[in-house]
Amino acid sequence: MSLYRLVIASLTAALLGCFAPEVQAQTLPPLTGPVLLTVTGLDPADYPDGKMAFDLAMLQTLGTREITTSSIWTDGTHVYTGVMVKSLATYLKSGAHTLRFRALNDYAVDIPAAETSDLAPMLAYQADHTVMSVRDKGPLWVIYPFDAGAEFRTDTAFSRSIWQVSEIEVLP
Amino acid sequence: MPQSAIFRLVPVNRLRLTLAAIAMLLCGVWIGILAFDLMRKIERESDARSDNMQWTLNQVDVELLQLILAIEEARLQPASLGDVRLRFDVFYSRSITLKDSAAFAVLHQDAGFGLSLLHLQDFVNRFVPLVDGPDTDLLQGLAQMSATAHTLSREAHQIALTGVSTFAKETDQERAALKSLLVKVGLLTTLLVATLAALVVILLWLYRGNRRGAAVNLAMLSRLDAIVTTALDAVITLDAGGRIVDFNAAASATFGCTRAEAIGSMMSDLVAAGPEGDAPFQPGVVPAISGQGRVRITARHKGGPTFPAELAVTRAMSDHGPLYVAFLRDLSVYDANEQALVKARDDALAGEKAKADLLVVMSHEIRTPLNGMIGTIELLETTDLQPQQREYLRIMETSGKLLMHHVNDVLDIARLDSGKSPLSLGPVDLAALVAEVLDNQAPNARANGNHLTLIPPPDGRSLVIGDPAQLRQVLLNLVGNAVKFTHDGRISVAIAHQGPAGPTEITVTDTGIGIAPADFDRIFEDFVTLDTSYARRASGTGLGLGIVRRIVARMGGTLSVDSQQGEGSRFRMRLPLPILDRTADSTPLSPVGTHPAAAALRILVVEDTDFSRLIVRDMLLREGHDVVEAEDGAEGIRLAAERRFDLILMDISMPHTDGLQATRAIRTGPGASRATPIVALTAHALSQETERFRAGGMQHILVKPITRETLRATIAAVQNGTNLSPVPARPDPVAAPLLNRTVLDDLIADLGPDRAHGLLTRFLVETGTSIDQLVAGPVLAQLAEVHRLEGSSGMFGAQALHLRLSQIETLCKSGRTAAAQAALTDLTALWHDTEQAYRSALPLPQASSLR
Repeated sequence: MSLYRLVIASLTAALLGCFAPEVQAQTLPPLTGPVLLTVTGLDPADYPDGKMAFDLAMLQTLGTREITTSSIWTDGTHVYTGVMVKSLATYLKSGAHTLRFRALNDYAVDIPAAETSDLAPMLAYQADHTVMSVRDKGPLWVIYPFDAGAEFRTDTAFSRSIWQVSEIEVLP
Repeated sequence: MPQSAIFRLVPVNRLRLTLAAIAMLLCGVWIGILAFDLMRKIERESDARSDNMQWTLNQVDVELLQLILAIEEARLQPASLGDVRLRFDVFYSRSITLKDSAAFAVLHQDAGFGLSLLHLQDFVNRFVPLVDGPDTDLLQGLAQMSATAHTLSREAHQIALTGVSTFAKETDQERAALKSLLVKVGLLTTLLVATLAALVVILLWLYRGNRRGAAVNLAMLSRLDAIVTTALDAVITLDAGGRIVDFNAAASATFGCTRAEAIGSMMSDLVAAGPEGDAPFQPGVVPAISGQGRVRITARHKGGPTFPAELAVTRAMSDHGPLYVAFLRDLSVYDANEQALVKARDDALAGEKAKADLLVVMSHEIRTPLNGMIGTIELLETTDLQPQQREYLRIMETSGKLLMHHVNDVLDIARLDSGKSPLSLGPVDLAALVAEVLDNQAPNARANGNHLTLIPPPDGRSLVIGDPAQLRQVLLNLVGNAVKFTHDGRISVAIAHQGPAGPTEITVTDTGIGIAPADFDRIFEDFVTLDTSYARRASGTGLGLGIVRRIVARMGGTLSVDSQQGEGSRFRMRLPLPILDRTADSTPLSPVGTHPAAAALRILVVEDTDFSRLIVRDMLLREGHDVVEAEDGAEGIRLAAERRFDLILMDISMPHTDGLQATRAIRTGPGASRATPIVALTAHALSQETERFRAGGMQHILVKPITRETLRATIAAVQNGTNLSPVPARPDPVAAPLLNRTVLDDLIADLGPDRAHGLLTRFLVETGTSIDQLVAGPVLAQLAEVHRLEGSSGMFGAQALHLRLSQIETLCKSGRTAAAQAALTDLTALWHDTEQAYRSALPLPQASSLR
């Protein structure tokens, strides 16, 4: 991490008008655990081959937000823990891009970074403080606080609630 | 008022508006409810639980195939066992999702779907231990797993298909519900719009109606305003308390105060006196006289003067209670005109009266000298005359008599027109009366070569009740006319009763020149003489038939004429006379005095006082006697010498030759009347004088005032040859009444009211003047005047005055001059009282009107 990169990050945050200083200030721990998420399509100048892989620890460093909600796919209410998609995009300096999420079951959905907020959506890595297996829609699940309001129960929200996420492609 | 009609509309419209508003509100609420429902439905749609369900269901099929492919791959190449595990986990997750997700709850009701789902779950549950176990076990189990998966692929496909059909059906239902909701909303919206449109139409209609009503109101108000403003009468609008709220221009002109001054003041301030001339209106009285029509009041001009006015008040209703509209008209000009008119009429009537009076007086005045002329002519006839002179004298006499006739006609007309001379009814023998008239006219008839015939009633009933004098006059006029206009012809008078009880018809028929039918009506008018041919043959005032017409009308009869020119005329009188059944022969013709034919006397009246002579003359004429008058003793002597009279009435007190001297001259002279009974006329019949009169050759004494009764009694006594009538006791002058009504009433009855009044008026004027002179001078020098006044006051019934003058004369004659002079002093006062008594007893005109 160079000073230059910090400056760029700061400028980007300032330009976008939305920022998470504690995130920016953090430096992620090195990849040590199994890879939960692979991000592709990043600027090759910053990331080798334009890729970056995240393990649970790295994601937890980026965010530990909790959303308690029910969903149409689950039985009862659960606590989900994860990082806000917006924070992730910011961290990846992809705030102006569209992120294409891919699932293990070949499902894919595009979420423009601009349509993300501090409230939703969230990339959950734990359900009820437990890591999610593939059988439980793991390893990662894009989730909205469905119970928090009708605006989170739209077609768009439901279609973007992709589970078994393993890869994000930052579209140019 | 039309205004109210317009105002009444408003509540109705308000009701309509309220109803429309309620309808619109209901529509709105309904639409709101539906819209809310719609929103919820759309919201539910947007909850999009179905989301990518279709995709999820399809993924069951896909992910099962991927698992099978991974198994087949691993069987060939055991290194890819990890892929089998991943694909198994993915499929596992899918099956759990299908089981747990609420979104798929609806599918669970489908029996096929549930069974397929059970098979899926059986599959995953059966192979979970194998997948989670060591690779070797998994490798061995791959074949079995593949076989089972293959059997499952049809189930998976079935799940996908079931999902398609179910969700399609559900979507269809949703759409239908949505559609019906939309239709409802659409209908309601249409209804709302229609209601709004209707409301707009109603409002527009109301607006136009109101505007029209307002325009009508405005036009009417301005018209009314124009009427009130330009009205010629004062129009004053009052409130219920009588306070003025409006005042038009005419009112300003009438009362002299401006509208601004008048408004707010009280109506009672404008009125000086109420309808009955009572006190001015109290405030609040005006409403009470509303609707009573026109009321006369006295109004007060601002400046103070009052004027007569006519007031009518009507009531009107206004928003603030009753109003009173007073119409007031200034009647000053009307009243002035009316008074002028009344005065003009009164003047005209007075003029007419004065003319009639003048005519009567003049006629009367003419008659006196005429009598003198005729008498003188008769005297001349007895002297030696040349034949030429005798012829002249005859012409003079004829003319004089004709003139006398005219004058009498005029007096008759005046008397008849006064309507006050009553008929004096009594039994009359019509046949005898007609015979007498025919006898009277016989000389004239002979002169014209005419033959006269009487045709008495066929049933012999010729006795009726009637006024003989009037009947005689009528017959004389008719027969006289017939004689006048007939030459060498026949004239007949027929009497016939139309029925047993009358009426009686008297027909005078002649064979004279006749009358043109066009003149039938005209001949009965006054002063009518037909064409010149008549005038040549006969002369007359033209009053004859007028008198006949009047008398017949007075008797309640009718008069008609029937004539053929050149053939003759027939005048027919039809009179309602009561018929007496006694025959004429068996009864006296009439009581004494009422039938002069039986008792007619030739009477000489010697009297120097005009009034007395005239009155006595008229009384005698009315009794049917022939009268000759003499104005003093000398004339009386001469007349008595020339003709033989049946009776001489001799006044005692006359200048030059008094009554006693004249009587002596007649008795001792060789005259024709030397044996005629002489009756003394005197106002003061003292007992010693009575002896003197008798000694002087007088048979009777008639004490003034003379009444018809005393006259009749005296004449009867003379005819019966009885001796001197008793002298009436002398009344006490002090106790005597001012007026003797009997004398006065007789006078009026004899002369007729008009003539009597004319004479009375003259008497009052002359006597007043005479008494003034009398009082001023020494009594002895005026003894003649005292005597004259004594006579006339007696004749007119001024009893107290008459007695006083008589007393004075007696005193003078007996030498008690001082006492006589003393008695003169209060004569003026006595005269004043007497005059007042006359004026209050009779409606006499003011003395000035005859001067």
